[in-house]
Amino acid sequence: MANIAVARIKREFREVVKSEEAAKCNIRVELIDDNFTELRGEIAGPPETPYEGGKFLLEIKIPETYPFNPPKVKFMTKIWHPNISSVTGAICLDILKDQWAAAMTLRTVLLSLQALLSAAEPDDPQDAVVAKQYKENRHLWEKTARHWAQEYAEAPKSKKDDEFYDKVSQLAEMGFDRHKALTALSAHEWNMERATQDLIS
Amino acid sequence: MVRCAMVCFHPTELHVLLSGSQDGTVKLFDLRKKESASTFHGRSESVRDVQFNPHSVIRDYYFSFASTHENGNVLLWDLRRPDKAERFFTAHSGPVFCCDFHPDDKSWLATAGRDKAIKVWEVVPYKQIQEVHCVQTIASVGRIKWRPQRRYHIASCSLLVDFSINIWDIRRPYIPFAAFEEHRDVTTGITWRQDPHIFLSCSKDCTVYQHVFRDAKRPADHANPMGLCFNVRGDISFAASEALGGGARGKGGSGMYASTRLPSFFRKNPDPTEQFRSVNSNLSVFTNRNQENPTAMDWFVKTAENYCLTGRPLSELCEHNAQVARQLGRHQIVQTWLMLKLIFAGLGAVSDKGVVTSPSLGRIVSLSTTGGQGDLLDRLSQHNETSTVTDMQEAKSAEPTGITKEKDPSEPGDAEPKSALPQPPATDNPAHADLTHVHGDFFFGDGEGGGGYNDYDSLPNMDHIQDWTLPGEAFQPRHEIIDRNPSPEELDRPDSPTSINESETVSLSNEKFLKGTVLTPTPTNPSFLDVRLLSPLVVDMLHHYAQQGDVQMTVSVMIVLGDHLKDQIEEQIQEHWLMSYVDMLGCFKLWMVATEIVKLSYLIGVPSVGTLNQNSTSIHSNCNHCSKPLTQKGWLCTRCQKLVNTCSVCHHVVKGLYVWCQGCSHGGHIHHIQEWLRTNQQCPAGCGHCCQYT
Repeated sequence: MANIAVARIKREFREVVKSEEAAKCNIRVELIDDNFTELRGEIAGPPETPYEGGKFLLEIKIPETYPFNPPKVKFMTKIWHPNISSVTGAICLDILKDQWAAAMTLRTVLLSLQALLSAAEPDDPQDAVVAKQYKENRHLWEKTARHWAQEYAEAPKSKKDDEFYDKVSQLAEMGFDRHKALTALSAHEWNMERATQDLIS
Repeated sequence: MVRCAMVCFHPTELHVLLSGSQDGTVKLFDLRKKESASTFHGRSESVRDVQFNPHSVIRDYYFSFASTHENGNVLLWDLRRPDKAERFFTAHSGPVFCCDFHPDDKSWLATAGRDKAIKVWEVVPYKQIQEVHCVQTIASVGRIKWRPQRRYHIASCSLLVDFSINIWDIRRPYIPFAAFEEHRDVTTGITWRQDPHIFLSCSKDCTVYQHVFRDAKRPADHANPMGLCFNVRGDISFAASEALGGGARGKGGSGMYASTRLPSFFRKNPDPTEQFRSVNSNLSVFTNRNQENPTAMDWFVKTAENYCLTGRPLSELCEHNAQVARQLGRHQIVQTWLMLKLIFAGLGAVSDKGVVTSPSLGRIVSLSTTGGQGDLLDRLSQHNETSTVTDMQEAKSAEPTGITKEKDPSEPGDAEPKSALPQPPATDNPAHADLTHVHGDFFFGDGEGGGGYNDYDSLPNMDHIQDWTLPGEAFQPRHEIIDRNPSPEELDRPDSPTSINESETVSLSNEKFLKGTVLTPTPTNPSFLDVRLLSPLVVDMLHHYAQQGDVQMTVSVMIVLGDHLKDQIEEQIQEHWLMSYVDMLGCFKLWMVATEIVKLSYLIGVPSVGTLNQNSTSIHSNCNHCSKPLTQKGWLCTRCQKLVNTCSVCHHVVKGLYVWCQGCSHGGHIHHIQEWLRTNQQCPAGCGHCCQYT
């Protein structure tokens, strides 16, 4: 790995660890291997969003050509968000693509992702299903996103969403995979029949 | 005790006095008290001028004053805040000698300084200070004063050189509106009476004049309404006023120029309110289409880059530089370097190499002993003058035939002992086509090209030579050529009996000659060749090259010879040459070479040029995060506790070459920026600016 990339990542790693946001447990980063090519990031769901209280894990791969090219980042935690694939966790964010600038660091990337969670951009979607729901039925999208956060990101549970749990559990009892059941239900506006059809077909 | 540079009374307060001093502080005095009331620390260099704002009747301006500083800064102060200047900007690239608030326009402040400029600044609170007018003068400006009741007029006098007082209309910054030339020495002060038509001036010629505007000279009336200029590519531009027929195209221009008439963007509609008569003029540009560029200066650039001027023994330097010149086909320069090597390094080299460079030395010694010294000198100088003329012929002749040519064994009757010794480097004779100069040159070794040699031989009138040379030496140099340089085709040629015949006689006479006088003193006492006698010639040569316009050669030789020419040339002339060369290098953007020349000029004892490198070497920078001026050394901004000037790409401090975009001020390591811009168009800092580096 190029010298400049390692030097920069070391620096940026320290920057994140020492940052105020890390002190408030908003962002975190840890090493996966010793040669700084792969990192594990973690961001807290921003307050007053469906993701509040959740912890979202990120896979950060540093390319050989860093910082001339952006780091490859994707969500490891399942998330229901218009700009993030609910299947693969791939992120659609300009600064991770063509708008990358060398001035950005791990810290600014993590903070940008946090900002993305609080301000989705449905007109430039990564996950079309989620984006459609976001635009057409914002309330349902919020509930779904909160449910996903509770399910996968350890967000605190509230009794309100028991309805969704029941539906998922019903499908799970029918022998479907729990995650697949949740995905199908989310995609079909929590309509049991259509979700079941989708799962069978 | 530090010198006080300027004092200024408050325009309305009777007892309040400001003084600026060379220690960089401004002190406020109340005349009723003994001590100063307050001290203002500008954190700039010496104060050159302090001025109260004359609009003190207005409350906002009551407390304000300006100070100008040696380092080009102008500070605007509030009397109530002595710790820190309110506003601060860099006005000039050198000391700011004076400033003057406009008497009517409250936002205008004029400054002037050593950079020969008068600048008018618009100072509006909470807005960036802007330069609204700039007048270029011919000499550094010592004093300026706005003309009362005339918004755009300002009077200036210079600190040096120019004795006249100029009144400028700042809207026409090229020619003074009016000039007063009564003073016989530099004018030191100007003050207007309340009337715009009368002012007083004092001067170093011990006079005070009261000028009336009626007496003014109007330089614009005498200005030449035409201009002509050409650039290194051979393009010519020509401007003239229409009244003089400037519209006529270059008639009779040869076919190599294409004329482009620029659209007359200089044309202005006459404005009745303007005081000046507007003159319509046309600018024609003739582009040089000739491929063979007559004014190309490639040789200059290459020579400047490749010359080696220091760090090696003199002889090597001369040899190297001769080689450079040879590659560029400048044979006369080759000659000169080799001659210099012989004159100056030849002596030193004797002991170094343990080899006597005897052939040339021997001959010179023989000359000086026989009283031929004066003759030699004459011819040398003659050579200097004629050599340029013969340069063309010279170029035709072949390359010098080599440094140590084997002695031809077939040479009959040659018993000269010294021919076995290594020969001095061959010097191509530039004057061999011209018979009268042949002898003068041969004293410095020969080894000339075959072509030239034939020319020489084919000349029948040998008597002519004997006519004007001293007996006894006439043949010796002749002999040397044959001895050392038997050009093969010449020897093989049966139809030149003269030459062989000659060589026999010559060698005979030479042998006798050598045995008689020369051999004994030469090897043991090589310093017999008196450099002191020759150096005036070298100085003449330097002058000659400078007159020819080749100041490069002059300066190079001067630097290479260094101490050898000590005290032989006036320092002013040296300075002039050096400055001219440095200027030329600047024109060709050879900054590195120019810097080296400046550095070396310190070593050869021209400190006035040498200190150029030490002027204006500080750059005042602001933190690129919070814009706080960085006063401390180091890499940390005191306000935001961040590293400054880090590379935008690798985020490390740049030690060494820092490049930055002039547009967005982001930058970093040159190779990082280069690599970034290879794939991206926008600034690596993510500011969205499309950076351009040229």
